[in-house]
Amino acid sequence: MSGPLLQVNGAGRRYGDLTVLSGVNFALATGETCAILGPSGSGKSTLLALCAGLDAASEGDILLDGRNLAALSEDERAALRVDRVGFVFQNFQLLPTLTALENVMVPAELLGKKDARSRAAELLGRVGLGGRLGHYPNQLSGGEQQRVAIARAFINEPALLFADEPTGNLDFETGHRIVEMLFDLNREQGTALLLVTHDLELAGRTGRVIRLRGGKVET
Amino acid sequence: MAWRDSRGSRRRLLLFASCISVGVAALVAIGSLKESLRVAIDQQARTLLGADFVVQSRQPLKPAEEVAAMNLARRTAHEIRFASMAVFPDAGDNTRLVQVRAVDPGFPFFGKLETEPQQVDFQETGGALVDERLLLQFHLQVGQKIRLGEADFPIVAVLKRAPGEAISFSGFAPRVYIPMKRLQDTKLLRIGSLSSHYLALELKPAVTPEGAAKALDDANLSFDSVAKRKEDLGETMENLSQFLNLTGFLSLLLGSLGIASAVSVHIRAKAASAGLLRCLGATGAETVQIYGIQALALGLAGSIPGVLLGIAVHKTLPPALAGLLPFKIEAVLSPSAVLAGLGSGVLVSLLFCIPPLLSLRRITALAVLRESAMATSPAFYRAWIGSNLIIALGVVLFAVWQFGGWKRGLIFAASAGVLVFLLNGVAWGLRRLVRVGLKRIPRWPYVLRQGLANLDRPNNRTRLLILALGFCTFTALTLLFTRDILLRQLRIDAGGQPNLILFDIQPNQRKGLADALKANGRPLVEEAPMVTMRLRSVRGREVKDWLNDPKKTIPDWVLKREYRSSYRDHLSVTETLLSGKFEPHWSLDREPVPISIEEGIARDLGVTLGDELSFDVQGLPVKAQVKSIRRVDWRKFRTNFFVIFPSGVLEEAPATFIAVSRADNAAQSAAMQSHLVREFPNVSVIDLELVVSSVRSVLEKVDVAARALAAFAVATTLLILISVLAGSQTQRVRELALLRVLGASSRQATAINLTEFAALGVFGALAGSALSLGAGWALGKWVFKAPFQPSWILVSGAIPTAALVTIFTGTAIHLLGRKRSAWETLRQEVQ
Repeated sequence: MSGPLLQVNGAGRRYGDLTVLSGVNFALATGETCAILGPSGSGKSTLLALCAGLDAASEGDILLDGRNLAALSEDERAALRVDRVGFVFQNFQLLPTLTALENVMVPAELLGKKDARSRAAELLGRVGLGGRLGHYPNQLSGGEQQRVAIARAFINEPALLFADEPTGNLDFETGHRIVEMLFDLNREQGTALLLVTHDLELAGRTGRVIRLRGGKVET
Repeated sequence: MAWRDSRGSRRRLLLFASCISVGVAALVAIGSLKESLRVAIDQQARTLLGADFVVQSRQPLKPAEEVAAMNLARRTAHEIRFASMAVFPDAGDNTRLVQVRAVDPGFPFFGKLETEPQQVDFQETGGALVDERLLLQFHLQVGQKIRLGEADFPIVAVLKRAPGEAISFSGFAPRVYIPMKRLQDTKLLRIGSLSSHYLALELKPAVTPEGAAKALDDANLSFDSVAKRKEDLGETMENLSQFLNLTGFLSLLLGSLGIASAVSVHIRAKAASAGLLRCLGATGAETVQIYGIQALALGLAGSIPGVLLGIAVHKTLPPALAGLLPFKIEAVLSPSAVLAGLGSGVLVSLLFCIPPLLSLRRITALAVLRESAMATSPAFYRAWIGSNLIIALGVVLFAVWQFGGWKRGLIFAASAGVLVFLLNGVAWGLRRLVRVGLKRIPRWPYVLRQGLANLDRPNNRTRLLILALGFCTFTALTLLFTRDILLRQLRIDAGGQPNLILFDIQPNQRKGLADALKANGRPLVEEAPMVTMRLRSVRGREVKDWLNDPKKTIPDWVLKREYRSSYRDHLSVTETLLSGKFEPHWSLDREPVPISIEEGIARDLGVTLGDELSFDVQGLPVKAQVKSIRRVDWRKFRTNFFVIFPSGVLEEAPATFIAVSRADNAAQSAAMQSHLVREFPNVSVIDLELVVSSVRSVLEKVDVAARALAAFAVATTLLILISVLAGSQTQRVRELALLRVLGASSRQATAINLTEFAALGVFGALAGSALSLGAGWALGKWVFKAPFQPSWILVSGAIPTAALVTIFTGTAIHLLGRKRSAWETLRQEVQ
């Protein structure tokens, strides 16, 4: 595929009369890292949701992997996500009824991959949880849960990883380790990284920073 | 504080409160029904019998007995009842087995024969009062004729109800009342004819029923009085209401488990709030009080609608039961039932909330900082065990109060406990099996594994749901199995088996009857003589002595009944020799006569091989000895008897004959009956189809009670299902939203949801089915004494039905509750 992995052209989102986001333009190439920075309520997460096809833009176009998200059905967007996109959330978002291993396997199983189990075990080993495969989320610390979430995010070797405040619920030390892990995997797999954060230091580690204020990109 | 603290969870908690509403409604409705029955029986006591005292005998009363009875009474009236074939000349000479009742004028003394038109004097006009069913069956009208034997009677009125008799139970042989003075015109009663003779008495003021019974004391007579009838009816009605109460009781217990589960989850969610209260200085007791008040309010919130529902339902019960009851009943709302329902709802739900409330004492101030900061100590566990013992004791006391006695209360409480325990056990086993299966067989499709794994979601209350669904399936299937067993007992293989029994055949009619059957192309499958006799002594002791022995184990009816015995030199196809030797021939001059006795009556009489019995064969004493014990297949439509004499003994005794034949269809049966009734008007025919359809119609009436039970169970289950699924909806929606974000297609997400709901339904139905199969087997073995052949169609139907109901309920709740997109759902949680 030629052209950027993610292309945002004049994207905006309105809820009734309330404009949450407007006129956002940027592009993200394969392997590139970018942070969306801004105070609470600036529209960071809304922009992330639009880019991931979780929400529909009220204006403008968003092209992910060369496909216009507005032209895709919800299931087509889901199929695109599971194949090309990974997610890491602030509050980990693990399924409580599944073990660490099973949680990591979920995206690969949704794709019907045969090697989901071995691949998940390998990734958990990479994030230092090789000995906790059979543990349930409530048996893991916050940092461990986030490492499980990172392993899950990378299992389908996504082209693009969306991370929504990935260190928001972690202490400094743990947060630091998680960030290292994210960037290591980004380098190793050539995965583009789009981070939502209000942590200036974390934003500073990315190749590019988009600052949002009041739903608009600050220039 | 309790009120303020409940903000945000009130709607969810109120939904859970509704779980006990059905149970409370059942208690109020059934309590009021009991009161209605009591009032009706009290008000109509004398009309239940139509007289103060009734003497009954299989033979006409002896002149001395007549005189003795006359001396006790202000008024007397005779009634003779017997089965006979009626012919309807205005309906193409159609025939039907009926029960003829010839009565003297003036009877009933109290109450009346309810007829349409009313106040018709059939005694004066010499007409007949004919059961409404007969007129409906043959499209007859008042003014047309009915022929009994050799006499025609104008139908002067439709009989709606006779004193003390239920309408439903007259289906097999509908009643026809004729004046006593015209009985002889029918020429139906001949020597040996089966008939019952009644003498109704309006007692003199100084004579009590007990005094009358003493004065007329005779082993051949039995007596009925208003008090006895009232007692019998009261007992029957008590059994009926307790039968209904059982499901009300179980519904309330199950609903209370629902409330306790909700309170438990609520309290777990409020751990931080409780910790904060402790942090701010509240004592453990004060914290318990706050949530205790909430639990109390929940019990009240569930009970009040239950009471209102019960009040509405109680009005519908008397009309629904009208056909089953031998008296008129009007709905009476019982204030004590209302209070009892309200109190039971509140107290039982509070009782079940003791363990979750107790867990509050574990919460320390540290819970504000650390959710897992729960104090654990041996004292806590002792208290936990203590609280569960209090629940068990509370349930037992509740059952004792509900069912009016320690024995019954303990039995019902233990049954409920065993049911809940077993359902829990089966549910646990099934889940364990799936869990092991999920681990051992990783190749299961992902959506299936995810859906099944969801059953272990924290706070999912899977166990409660399976328990509720299992309870519902168990109730419905056990009722259906019971019905099946009853119907199967009547079912006879249609393939060429006899289906007609002809009785009251006089010895001189045997040949003519055989010829008539042959002329109609009907086979004479079997013929047997029948000699009536009574017991004189059992194991050397006079029947009179047995009857006066308060410690005897032989039931009165077994001692007092008229034995219709037969004689032959072989066992019939329906008999199996269990022990001893069947003696084919004997002579009367060699006593004791070796007889063969049926195993059930041998058990009731407490006799075994070698024991002696003495019979009064229409005045002639005959000594007999039990030489063999037989098993009789009573379900077969044959000439079956309790006692069989060898040939050569009873041949000279007055006897009538019974014959067995077969018709391939209703038309053949009708043609044959029509022919026979013309030639042999005294011979009656029982058509198997008539028996089965009559029992079916009674069962249909009894089904009202069964349907009420099933309705209570289904309603409670649905409420629990809705409450629990709605309670776990937030978590379910969050998980599905996450899966959608991770890339699950809508089909995969839906399949996961459906798998979870279907698994719940299937597990619940499997647990309930397994137990109902056990209950069916136990009922068949010990209650109905019939082999239990489970209907696998019913079982296999119950499982998809439960799954579909759960899927439908779950999907409806899911769709109603899904208001936000997947992303918004996940974001909402962060905020």
